[in-house]
Amino acid sequence: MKPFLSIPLFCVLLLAGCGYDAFDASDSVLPNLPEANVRIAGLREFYRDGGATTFTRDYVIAGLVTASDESGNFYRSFFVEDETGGIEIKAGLYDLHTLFPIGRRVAVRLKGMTLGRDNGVYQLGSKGLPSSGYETDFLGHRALLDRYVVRGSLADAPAPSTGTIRGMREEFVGSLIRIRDLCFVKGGRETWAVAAKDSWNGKPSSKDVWAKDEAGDSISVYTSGYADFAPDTVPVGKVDVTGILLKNGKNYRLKLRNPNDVEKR
Amino acid sequence: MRKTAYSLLLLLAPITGRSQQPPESPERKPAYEEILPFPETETSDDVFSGEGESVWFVPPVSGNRSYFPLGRLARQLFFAGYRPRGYDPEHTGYRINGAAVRSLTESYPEWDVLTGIRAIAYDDAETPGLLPGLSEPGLAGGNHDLRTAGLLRGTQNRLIYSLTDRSYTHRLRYSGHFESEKRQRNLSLGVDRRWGRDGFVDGLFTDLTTVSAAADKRFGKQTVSLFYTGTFGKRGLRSAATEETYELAGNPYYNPNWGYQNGKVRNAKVRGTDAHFAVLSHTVGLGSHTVLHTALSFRTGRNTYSQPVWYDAPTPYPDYYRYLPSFPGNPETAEAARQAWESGNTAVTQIDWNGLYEANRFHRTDDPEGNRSHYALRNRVTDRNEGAVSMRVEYRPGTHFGLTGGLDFQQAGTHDYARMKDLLGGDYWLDIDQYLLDDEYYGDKLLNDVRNPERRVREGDRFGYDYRLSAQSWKAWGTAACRSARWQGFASLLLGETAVRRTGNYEKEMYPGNLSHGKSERLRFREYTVKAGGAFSPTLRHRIGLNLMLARTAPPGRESFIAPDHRNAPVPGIRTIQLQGAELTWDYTSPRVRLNLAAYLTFSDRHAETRNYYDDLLAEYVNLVMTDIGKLYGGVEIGTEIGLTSRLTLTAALAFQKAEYRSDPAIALIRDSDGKMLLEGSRSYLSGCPLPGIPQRAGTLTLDYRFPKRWRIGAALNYADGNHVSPNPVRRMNRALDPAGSPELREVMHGQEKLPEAVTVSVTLGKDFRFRNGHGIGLWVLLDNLADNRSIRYAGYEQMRFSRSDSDAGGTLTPFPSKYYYAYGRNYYCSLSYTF
Repeated sequence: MKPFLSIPLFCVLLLAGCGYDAFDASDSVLPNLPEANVRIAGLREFYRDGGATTFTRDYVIAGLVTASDESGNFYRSFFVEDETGGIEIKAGLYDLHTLFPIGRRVAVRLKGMTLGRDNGVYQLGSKGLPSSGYETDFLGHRALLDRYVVRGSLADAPAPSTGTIRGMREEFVGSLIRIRDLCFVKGGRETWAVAAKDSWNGKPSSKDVWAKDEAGDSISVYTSGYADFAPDTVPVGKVDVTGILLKNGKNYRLKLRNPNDVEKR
Repeated sequence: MRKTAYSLLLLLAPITGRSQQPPESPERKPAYEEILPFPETETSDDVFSGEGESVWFVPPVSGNRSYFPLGRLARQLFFAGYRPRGYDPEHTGYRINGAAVRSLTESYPEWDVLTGIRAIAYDDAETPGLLPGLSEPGLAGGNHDLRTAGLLRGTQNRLIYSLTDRSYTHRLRYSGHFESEKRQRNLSLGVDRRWGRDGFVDGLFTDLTTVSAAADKRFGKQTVSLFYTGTFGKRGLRSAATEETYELAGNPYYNPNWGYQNGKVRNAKVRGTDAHFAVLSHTVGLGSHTVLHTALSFRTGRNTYSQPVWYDAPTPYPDYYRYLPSFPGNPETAEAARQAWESGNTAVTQIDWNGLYEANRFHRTDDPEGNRSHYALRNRVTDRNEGAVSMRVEYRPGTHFGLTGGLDFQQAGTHDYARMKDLLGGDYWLDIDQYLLDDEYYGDKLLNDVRNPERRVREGDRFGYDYRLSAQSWKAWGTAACRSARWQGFASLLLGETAVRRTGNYEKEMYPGNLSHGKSERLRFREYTVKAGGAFSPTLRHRIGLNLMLARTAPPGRESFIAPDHRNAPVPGIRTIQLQGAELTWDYTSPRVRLNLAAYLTFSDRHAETRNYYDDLLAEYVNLVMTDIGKLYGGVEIGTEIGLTSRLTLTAALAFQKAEYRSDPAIALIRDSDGKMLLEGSRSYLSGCPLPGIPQRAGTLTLDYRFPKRWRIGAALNYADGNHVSPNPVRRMNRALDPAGSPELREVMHGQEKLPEAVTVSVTLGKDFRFRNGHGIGLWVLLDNLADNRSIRYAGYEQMRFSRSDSDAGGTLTPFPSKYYYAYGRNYYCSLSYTF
């Protein structure tokens, strides 16, 4: 066989690869969200029965994500709000903002979840361990999170409810609130929290920063030492502040999602 | 005719005992049909039969004493990690037509080149152990001098189709040889195509093509040869996993690297190869006693290795320890995790590709350039260009004395960088150091390249790191050998130098100026090798040899730098590796029995190694630098081939070896973010720990029967024991041992796990059909691990992480569980060949 007759054999054997590493982009087909059959505010009825409640029926709530952990100020949880109120989902994972960015539509299947309350904030998670002292525990695994929470499409950023310090009520705790015309008492002279590099022992620490409105009422803005804006200086002058409304004892406090939640007037 | 027949058998024989990477080593022919490099009138048959007219009791100085049974041991027990004497691959020298096949920058062998030569006919003048090679003295692991010129006669073609379930499914090979009528010109061509998915490990695949060609032309006393081989394609890879993960998956071949994307299996770790190697060689006789060989070689190519990268997002790997049911303290969470794993929910047990796309697409941004990817797939790319010149002069005034000497010069260059392979639905990747994002002190020094701040990376762009390694090596060597009727002796000397330098193309913000950018200092390593030995044959059938070696050799260039991706800093105190070795051999040959015995002892000292990891005790990402690593290799090898009858042959090979650390290496811990020394002057108590991945006891027993009419059947019993996991040096440091509350806990921390013994049985069946027109058909079947033993852990390593019993320093430390690889269960390899 002459050498040149081998060339076709060469060519046949050099046929292109098999495509084991060639892929089209993922389809990312989102499932249909189940319909809500209970409002978030209505969940409080279950808690009034006397403490943490584990749901045994197919209740579903639905809403938009109003806060997540992108800045590090919220730890392993995110907030969901519908037109009646907001609630914390104790997911127990890190970097939740990748799946639950602000504005994502979600539905939560409550059967098997436990409803608890901590400092006025209603929370959904696993049943709390007796030794922890908390009514709910973090879900802690993607398998559990996917069992309960269904992710939908991305909507516009949810608009906060606007109010005054004096107008704050228990039923607003856990919701996204904006308070206008606040002035920080130590504006320009303190930071939101104490970052690790600024602390005496190398450990970050959380902090309340106080602000007053034109009526003279006060509210604190609570920031974790792990937030990426913790070392930033609190602004001077009048600002509008948006955040999740929390409670500390009898006092209300706001928790920022990111530095953009503070807007200068 | 016999040589032709054997060479054809060489192409026909299957690859045995192989699990997955690295690829097969060159096939070793039985010594009784070996083609000797010289002298041409003497064949090994004459010597080993003892019936020829030759009075030479010892083989020619080329050293055709072979460890052929041990070569078979290496093939049969490759699944168990056995390699002869346990040496690191850089101890073995390879040459093709006189050109060195050796990387100055990498520690692994040039498998793609060595695989390429197997596509055509070649001869391997192997010199095992401490014997000097034809083209260089070599180190401790022997030398392979591969030749392609003038091996076959006439015109031959062979087409082979193979079917298997190991690493791939299909293999199609073509080899052709063409010789001109006057035998002045030869041409060999070969193509080897392997493709398909692994039959055991999901995500593992092979899609490789190798093309080889060799041509030579004779002009009187001169021969000019040209050899080329190119390999291109891709392979999907496998990663080790913990025992918990294997149990959860219910599968000893669980592979965490893959997941489904649009219903198709996608592997995150894919190795790409596009490598080319060519040698132009010239041989000329200068007078009646002298031959000059010259070889020019050139290597070029690109290797890629894909891996996921992620920023401000959870790790995509499904077997991350926090994702396993053993981690959560809440029983409900742990049970949910267990159920998800055991139910085979691939969104949990494998990479959730659809989830990665979702994370990249579903987030809000005002950036006009679009969504920044949280997850992406990058390629680690190494481009290589190397050239070498080798000259060798052989002077043989007679059969009593020979003198060989040579010069080698090699220039190697690599260009290493990351290239964006797939943004997974995002629009760009921000080129910053994501490991510093949450750093309390350096979170504002994130730039990987200050000359291109906050570069937005698109698919196909370079990013992350970009540097070059350049290395040069020169060597001058000589070997003198003499022999009489019963005695033989040799002495070899090599002197040389290797130099290596890094040049950074990016200036990293954490390492400004020359710390990362521009040229590093030039590291120079002076090398030498001294070998001497002799052999005595008291009778025609016996031969006793003693060989000694002393050497210093340069470490692989890449391993001479602490973190070459980002920094110019060399490993502190990096030195040449020092080798001392001795071996005692005894060979017996009779018409029916061949027996090889060897006892050896080798010390290999002054190694250095770096590891980059997260140190739980310091809560920092660190570079661990280990120096003064000493290794001991010692043992006894026995190989025999017995012709029980004219058709039945028994082959046995046994190796009892002790391979262990013989020093307590010095340890330095350097913070990766700013290069600050965190710990120095410490030691890791590794002395006495077995070297990983080396069975300390290994053996194979094979029976081959050749029936009339070209049938052949064989059976082999294979055994390996004494393999150990790769130790974590941090576990053997005082900082980890001291917190142990009792001697028992201290032993748990220091103890090194031994992998269970492995026993397998394999059978082979072959049949040749020959036709009158000279054509032929061959069939070959191999069944390996007949008992389908799926519990053979053949390799493993201790993880670098620890967990603490409480959050404060001083709590009890518990090492993370080790990770393992399991060998294949029952597997097969079938070949059908057509010769024409």
